[in-house]
Amino acid sequence: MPHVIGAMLALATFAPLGVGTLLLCNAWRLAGGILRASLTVFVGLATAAVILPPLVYLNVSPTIPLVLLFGAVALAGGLALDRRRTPRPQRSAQFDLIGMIAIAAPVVLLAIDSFRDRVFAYDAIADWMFKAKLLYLNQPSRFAHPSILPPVHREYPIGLPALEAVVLHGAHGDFGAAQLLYATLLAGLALTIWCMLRPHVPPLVLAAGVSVVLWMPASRSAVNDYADVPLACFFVAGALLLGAWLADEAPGALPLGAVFLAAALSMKRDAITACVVIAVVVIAGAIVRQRSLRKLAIALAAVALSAVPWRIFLAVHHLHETDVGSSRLGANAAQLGWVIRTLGRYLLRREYLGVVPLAAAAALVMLIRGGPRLVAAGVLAVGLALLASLVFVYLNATAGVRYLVYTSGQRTLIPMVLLAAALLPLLVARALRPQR
Amino acid sequence: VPLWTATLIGLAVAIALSFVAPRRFRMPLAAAVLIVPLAYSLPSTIRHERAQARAQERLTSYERAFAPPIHWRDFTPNVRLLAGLREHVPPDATIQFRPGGTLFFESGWLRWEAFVLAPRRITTSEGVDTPWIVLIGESPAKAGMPATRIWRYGNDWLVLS
Repeated sequence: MPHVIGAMLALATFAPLGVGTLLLCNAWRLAGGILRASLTVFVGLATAAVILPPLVYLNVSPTIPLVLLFGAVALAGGLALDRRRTPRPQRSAQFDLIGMIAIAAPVVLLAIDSFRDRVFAYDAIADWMFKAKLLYLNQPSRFAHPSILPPVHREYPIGLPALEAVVLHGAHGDFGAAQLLYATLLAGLALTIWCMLRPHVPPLVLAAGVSVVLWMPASRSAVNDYADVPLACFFVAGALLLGAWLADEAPGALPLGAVFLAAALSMKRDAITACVVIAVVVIAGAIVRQRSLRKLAIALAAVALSAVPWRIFLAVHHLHETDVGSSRLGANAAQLGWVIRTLGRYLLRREYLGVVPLAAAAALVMLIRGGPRLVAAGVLAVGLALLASLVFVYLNATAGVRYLVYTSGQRTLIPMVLLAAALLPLLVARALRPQR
Repeated sequence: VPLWTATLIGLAVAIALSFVAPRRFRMPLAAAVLIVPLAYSLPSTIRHERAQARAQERLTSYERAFAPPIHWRDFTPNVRLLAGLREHVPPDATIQFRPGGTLFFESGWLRWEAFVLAPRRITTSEGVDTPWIVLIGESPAKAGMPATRIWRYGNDWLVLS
């Protein structure tokens, strides 16, 4: 039990960083009351995922005092900046009782099961949990040494191991307790969905929607095993915030969305294609909705810049992608149909609760019945582009297209599946009650 | 009926009802559409999670620390060797593994060993200067290796040279 309390306290140390980030992004008033207080940890984790990896590349191990130091700096900067701003009247999203129950019940059950768990999955043992243990034991550059066994993927970004290492400090090295991090990330995603969609969707529908996200077998069973779920949590939060900025220029949504996308980039290299897709769709949406392209360009440039330390680290250590190249498209083109069919079949699996076909159908109904057409078209465009980007990546496989799809196809779909699940309450509500 | 088909049927029924139902019933209908996949999967999800948690609770502290979570068909890992390495080798040391038998490593087992033994380093490189050597399937005498101390774990040996 002391390990669990320690892990919870370590997670709480991300809150000041989250408060500072919300203030710096001018997103403090996006949510109010308990909802805002609960969101601070998730926002703090996202910010830490962006700022801790460059330190690791400089041979500094992430620790709790370091997170608190960054939190103090962000908080001081945020408070100073917030005082200079003229407050604008803004309606903050609030928690409803039904929302609290819908989020708390599945997360608490998952957390209780998590801290009894051992580290299970091959990917976790072989890669990011192993790196997290090295960071926790103050061996920040060990994984970069080529002669050390096992041959881990040294070219992967280090955001998740960095977060895990901080929680391990609180948990005194207990990996079971440290897995509370993943339940916290899922809870953070659900809170963000509530915060972003509450102004547009009634609480009953929204509670059912976040329940779909939190009870989805794919997100629950994979959350401890694959870095794709943490990636998806940050990616979906970023996409929702950018969508909110496009929809009604919600103050702070654009910079905070950029922070979340940068955090997704720090989780796994798979986030690159997902972030590119979101960037392209948001640029198109900004042109149509006549939003400030200058602000958007700054936010997207900041997201891209956040990946520069990682790319420098790869260049310095002569690390290269091992399983995906950039010139295999021609050779693998004959596999196009098979890849699309296989990924399509995966999307219909029970673990994903059929959310992608349901979201696509609801968006089509919105288009036909005269709901907000831009939202429906945007959702369909993002879905198709995410699928196309995955197909493109798989067709560039150097290790064999079928091998790569069989071994990774189901988890690389998780960001797309969670995005569809997050948008379901809005899409289904609008499909049944069209409102222009 | 597959789950995804059931959800689409649920949406179709709700849309059809939305044309005739009073406006105030449309949001409960939307919530009902979202509850369809949960109703399908929730009991089995909870059962699976509880069963997994119970299986974890049954493990001894030794099993939790050393037994690999992966099982191999043609490979029996030497868990006692792993426990011995963590007991005897200091955390800042490097352990050199030398293959002697026909079957050397299952890559998954090697990764589990590295995870459990960290921050101890493990290597198979010949040129590494370390007194901690693991002989796989070969005794120190057969390998002609001088030793200060020897620990035997089945067919494998830990040697402090």
